[in-house]
Amino acid sequence: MSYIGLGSRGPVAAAADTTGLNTGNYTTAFTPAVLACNVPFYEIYHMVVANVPVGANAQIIVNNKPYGFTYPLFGSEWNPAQPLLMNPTDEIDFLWSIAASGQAPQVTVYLRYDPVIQPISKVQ
Amino acid sequence: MTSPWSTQLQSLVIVTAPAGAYAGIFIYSPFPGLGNLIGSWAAQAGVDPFGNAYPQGLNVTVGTISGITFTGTNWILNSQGIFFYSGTPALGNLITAVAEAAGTDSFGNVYPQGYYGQNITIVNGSAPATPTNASVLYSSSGGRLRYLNQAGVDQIITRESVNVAQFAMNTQTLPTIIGAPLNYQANEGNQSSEYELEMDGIATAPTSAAGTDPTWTWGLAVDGTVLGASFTVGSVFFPHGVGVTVNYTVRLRMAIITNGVGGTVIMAAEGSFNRAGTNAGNATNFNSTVGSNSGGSTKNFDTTTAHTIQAYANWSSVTSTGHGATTYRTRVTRRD
Repeated sequence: MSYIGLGSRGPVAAAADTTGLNTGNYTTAFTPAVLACNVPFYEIYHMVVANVPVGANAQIIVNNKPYGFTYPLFGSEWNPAQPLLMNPTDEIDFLWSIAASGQAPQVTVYLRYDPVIQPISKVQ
Repeated sequence: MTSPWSTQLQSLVIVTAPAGAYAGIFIYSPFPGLGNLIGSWAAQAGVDPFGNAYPQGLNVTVGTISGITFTGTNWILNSQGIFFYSGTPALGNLITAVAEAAGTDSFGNVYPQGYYGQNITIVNGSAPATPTNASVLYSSSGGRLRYLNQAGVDQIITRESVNVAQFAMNTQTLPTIIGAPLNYQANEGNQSSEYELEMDGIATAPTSAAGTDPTWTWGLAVDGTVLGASFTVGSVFFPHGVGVTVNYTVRLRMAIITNGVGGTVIMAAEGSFNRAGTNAGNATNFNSTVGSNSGGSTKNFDTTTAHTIQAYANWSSVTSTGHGATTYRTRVTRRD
């Protein structure tokens, strides 16, 4: 397989939660508009969190369902064995454990897609 | 499981180790390799893939561990000091402590600043270097406790004890025990080792109205036989029939000249006899010092076997009666 990069999105600073899942706290929201991918399937293969206050952690939500958890010390990077498969309507959110004031964590995601599977997806 | 996040705080980490597994927490510096394992925490002992052996539990080979308490089955090490107990730590069984300040442990045992211990064993060794602004205690040949001061004075500490058992004699004309023994132990003596017996007591002159006045002879005996340091107190001290008592202090010494089965010693005596009374120094209440020594004449003394060293005394044969003596206190001293 040969991936084609879709670049990165972010860094996106956390803001007061608007998802309703983390009211009063910071949430970093990668909405479809932020991700802005127009291929049927793509992957998030790398993520970086930075500027994380000591002691803060985040629930990672994909389309309102739990996907993961991170408890970084200041910052961290994510290099998964299995990348996160996305489509253009998917949203990924970081629900931080900290109140929406003061130091806001930042998240950057890196995207790619496999051109081989695109035609198949279109058939479906 | 390895987290995809490069930096991840964990609220729960469980490490298990099946037998033979390379499992645990391992820290290498600067990178994994033989000789680079600087710390490990493993459920089972083993050898890592690079050949570094590690123990079960925690192993740290470099760095500093601070601000914590270490405990064993019978010891505690914390920021206050190190404490050893005779068994499980509890009130009343603290046997050794080394602390920066006086205090009380968590069980109620009070300890002082510095070293506290029920006993200390100092092994024999060569003479230490002269200290600066300090004194040094150490043990030399024969288990002698030595004192070395900052000026370089290096001497063996005198060992002594006081025995207040009473040793009485009557009118015996054969040498009779008149003081507590010094029990010489086999091979305890070295050249210049000295042994001294100091006796305090009261002698009573003959109480009979008639008879001749006795003299009183002392000597230092080894295993029941007077070997030397003999002297005789004259009969003037012991007039019959007038109720005279005589206070005495006598010291008998023996110093080793040569060691061994054919060892030799010199002996000496000193002391004073005082006819008791209100006024000292008059015609009836007088005193006299006594002394004797073997001088250049050495006495045979096998230093390799145990002996009993003791003061003996005997009266001269007289027709008066009722005289006697009692030693009330004996100081037993070992020097050098």
